[in-house]
Amino acid sequence: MTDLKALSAERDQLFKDVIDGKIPQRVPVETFFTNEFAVQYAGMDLMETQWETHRYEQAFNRVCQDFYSDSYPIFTLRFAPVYQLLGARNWKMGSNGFLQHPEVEGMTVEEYEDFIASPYDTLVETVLPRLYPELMAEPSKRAMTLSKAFKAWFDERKNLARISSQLTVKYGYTTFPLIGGFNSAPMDFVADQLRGFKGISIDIRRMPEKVAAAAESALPLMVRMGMPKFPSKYSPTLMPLHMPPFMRETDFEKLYWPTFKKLVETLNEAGQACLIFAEQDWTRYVDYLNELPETTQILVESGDPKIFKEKVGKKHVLMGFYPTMLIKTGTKLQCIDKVKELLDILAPGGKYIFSFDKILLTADSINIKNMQAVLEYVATNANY
Amino acid sequence: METNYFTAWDHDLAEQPEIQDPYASVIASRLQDYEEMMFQFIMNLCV
Repeated sequence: MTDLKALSAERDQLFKDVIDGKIPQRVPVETFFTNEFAVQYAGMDLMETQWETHRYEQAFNRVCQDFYSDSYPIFTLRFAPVYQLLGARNWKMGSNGFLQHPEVEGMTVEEYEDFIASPYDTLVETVLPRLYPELMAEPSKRAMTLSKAFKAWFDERKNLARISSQLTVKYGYTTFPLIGGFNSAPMDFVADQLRGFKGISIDIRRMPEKVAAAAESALPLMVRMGMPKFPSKYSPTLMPLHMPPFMRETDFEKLYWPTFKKLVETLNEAGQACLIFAEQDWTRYVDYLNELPETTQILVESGDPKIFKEKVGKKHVLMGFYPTMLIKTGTKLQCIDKVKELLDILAPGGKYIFSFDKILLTADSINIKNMQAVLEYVATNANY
Repeated sequence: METNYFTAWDHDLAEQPEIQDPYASVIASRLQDYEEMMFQFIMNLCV
């Protein structure tokens, strides 16, 4: 137990040093496996385990046992019972037990004005019943349905918190929860579940002023959603970013960037850092990222790591870049060569946490031996 | 849309005179925890 405490303290120091801008003893390793990955990897039936979530503990333990990480490596965001109780249209379980997100329109184009004037009321009264038809009922039934869903959500979160606490102690992981909150960039919030990808793409061209106003209205909600009770720069708010790679830079500059930047700055001013996941390729926006507060950590999916290190890597902690596809298709040697290449570019000067370009969704999306070899290589060799 | 779910509770707390009740702050704190939990739940359903 003492050894595990010492190991945990060592790992705390690795992350603390990186985030404080000091050179750590070694490049820390942070991996994100989904609950679906863990269940499949443990050889359990995914469909069944989505409902019997007390079995997560056994599955998550297998991942912790077999894959190196300096932080608790399981990431779970969605719970099947909640969506089932509400009759969700926006999250549907496939025949393989994996929750999928179909294109939805939670808010019609005519409802922009309502959302702009009173965003939370519109979510509660208009958007939720549309996304979750079980809420489209007379008041007493609606109240009971929402109560059941809330209870399921609360129970599942409690279960996950218990498992993560136990495994953090058992494996001597860092005690910093490396995700301290979750929210969206304001315009992504309007796009993802309210207008949908198709709707927002049309709105950007036909009614940009309404898109901008809706993002402004969503901003206070996103600040509140992403602000934990105890703000910390070591437990950032995770913000996956969606729309910019599909936008023109002129639209990005007017419609997306102002409220996104304000959100990150507001959280930062309260002492809360953000971990932004720059999904797809953000190379053409790299100079914008440099304007974000220094506490912002940037997980990059694709792009030239040399450009990112040069332009933002001196100010911000960088993560990502390692192509998960190579783990699936490459030889062990090719996988290790890629680690060496990325370490040579990203490790100098600190401000780098080793991680993959994507959250690992399913066990068959990688070659297990390659993954283990890569993680072990960083843990053993990436010393300063 | 008459109910402002987002701010109703905060305004009540800030403006009502019975806040002087010696137990008011502990009650408010406990209720605020649930208010915040429900807010997070609702928002989670929208992302």
